[in-house]
Amino acid sequence: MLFVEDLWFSFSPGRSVLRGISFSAGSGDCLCLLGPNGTGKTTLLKCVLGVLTLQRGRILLGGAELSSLSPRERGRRIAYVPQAGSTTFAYTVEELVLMGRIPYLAWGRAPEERDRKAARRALESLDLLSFAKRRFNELSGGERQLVLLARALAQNAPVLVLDEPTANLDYANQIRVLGALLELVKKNYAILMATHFPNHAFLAGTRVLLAKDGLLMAQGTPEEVITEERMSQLYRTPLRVLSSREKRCPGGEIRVCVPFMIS
Amino acid sequence: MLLFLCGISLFFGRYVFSPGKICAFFLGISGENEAILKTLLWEVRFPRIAGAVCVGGALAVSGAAYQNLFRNPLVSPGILGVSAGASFGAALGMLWNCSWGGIQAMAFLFALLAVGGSFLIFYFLGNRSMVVLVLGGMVVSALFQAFLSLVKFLADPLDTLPGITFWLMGGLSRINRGDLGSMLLPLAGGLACFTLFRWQIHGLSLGEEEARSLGIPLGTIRCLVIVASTFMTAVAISVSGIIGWIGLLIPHVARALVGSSFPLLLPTSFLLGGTFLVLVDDVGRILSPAEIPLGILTSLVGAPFFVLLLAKARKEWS
Repeated sequence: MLFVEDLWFSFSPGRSVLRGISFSAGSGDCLCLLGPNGTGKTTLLKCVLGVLTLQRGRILLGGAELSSLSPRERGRRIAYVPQAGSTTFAYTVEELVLMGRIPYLAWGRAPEERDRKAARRALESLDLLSFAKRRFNELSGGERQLVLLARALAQNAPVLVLDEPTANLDYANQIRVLGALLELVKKNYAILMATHFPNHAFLAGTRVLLAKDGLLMAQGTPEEVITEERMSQLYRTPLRVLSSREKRCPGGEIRVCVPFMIS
Repeated sequence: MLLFLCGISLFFGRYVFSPGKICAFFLGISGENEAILKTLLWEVRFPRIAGAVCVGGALAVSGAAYQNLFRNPLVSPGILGVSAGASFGAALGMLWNCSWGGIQAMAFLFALLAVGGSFLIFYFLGNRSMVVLVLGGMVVSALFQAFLSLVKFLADPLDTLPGITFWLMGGLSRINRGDLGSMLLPLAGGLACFTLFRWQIHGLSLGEEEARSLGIPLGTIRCLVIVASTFMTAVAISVSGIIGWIGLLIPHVARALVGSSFPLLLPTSFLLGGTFLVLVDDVGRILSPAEIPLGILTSLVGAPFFVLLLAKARKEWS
């Protein structure tokens, strides 16, 4: 569904931020993009979203070259879930989610019943219907993140790109958002998310991309890729990958990656 | 509400006719002074009221669109230098003893030129950052303000200088039916543009990445908003002089009434802007026989009103 091949990008000539990135995500994939700060994760997401233009390489969305798609067509194929902040103007949840239908509106047309239904369905699928009339800026961080996810669902695009959807959230909300993502994976969405938490890749990722200095260091399943040696090298920090039995979770085992200090 | 106010406004003015006579005129009953009354109503009061609706509406709508474009509720239509350019153009026209039409044309021309200047700065130095566009607007405004001061300095202090000063305070007393005609095209064009792309302009308020990911052709829509706002504001200012506050204040009032969604904000801002200016113009005409300039009144009314709104509905701005 999403296919990236040999992607190169630089903000100024001679200093490439991304150097030959290749990966792909099919339906039912949840790709977790891990990497230290300043390694080009957000830049990669912007390239995939068509916000930045690549210098070399190509990105295919559902078989079509990204650069050849019209903005509206692009909006129907790939949706973006930003990190939850606040909006400039006081929008209600309903208004914000309805904006997800903008790629479907012909010039001069207002959303029709079909669009309102799609927005309502999106809210419903994330259990947010009771928030519809609330103001977005008055919600908690976790609720805002879910609302932005709902907007992406209203957009009805098969590929979702998320930028650190669990940053600034407490444990309960982290699990809530990751749970919602797992549900979407089951519904055959293709998800690409940047995150700072290797643990979240264990919880929700089907595959992991490790990015360092504009290159992909490794990719594969979380269990394959997230090893003590690799992660210590990636973050330049000593850390351990631990596992513990827990009957109630899938696989009967939880894995975590924890950094530690050397005394 | 607006229509009612416009109807009522026909009755007010320097020459006092009894309401009965005006009603009789509309009902086709002839009486004394019919010719004067006809001229007064059709040539003076009607253009003035219609002009107030158009100018007020244009400024309010441009303000609302700019606030969405720049994602900032404190932006007014003059931010890219329209008002400064128009002021200089009008003053220059007066210095050269142009006709009223010539002065309007100069104001309009220099308003476009000023925004063009801001846009060039943005285009060549901007690196696609909207902040540079705003800074460009500030630079161009400052430049034209300086030119304006120069013109004032050179102007005849007995004749031209007062003319310039009055123009800068804004007013609708010199408006005629020809002005209405020349306003119509830019105004209708701008409104059509805003209406056609209202949902895309709505999306601009989310910021660059989100707007793009919602399938909005960002560059095109931004240009459209700037061009449409500029033409509407320029033509409004060239007819009425500088009238402050409407472009900043009215969108906020509209937001407090119908929420922040641009498709709703658009008609509400237009109607509110028109209503407000008709009202203020009426007050100006009634209060004193010398007609208080509009710019003074909009600020006098606008400033405390803004504080009141700020106190009452702080949430709207967060």
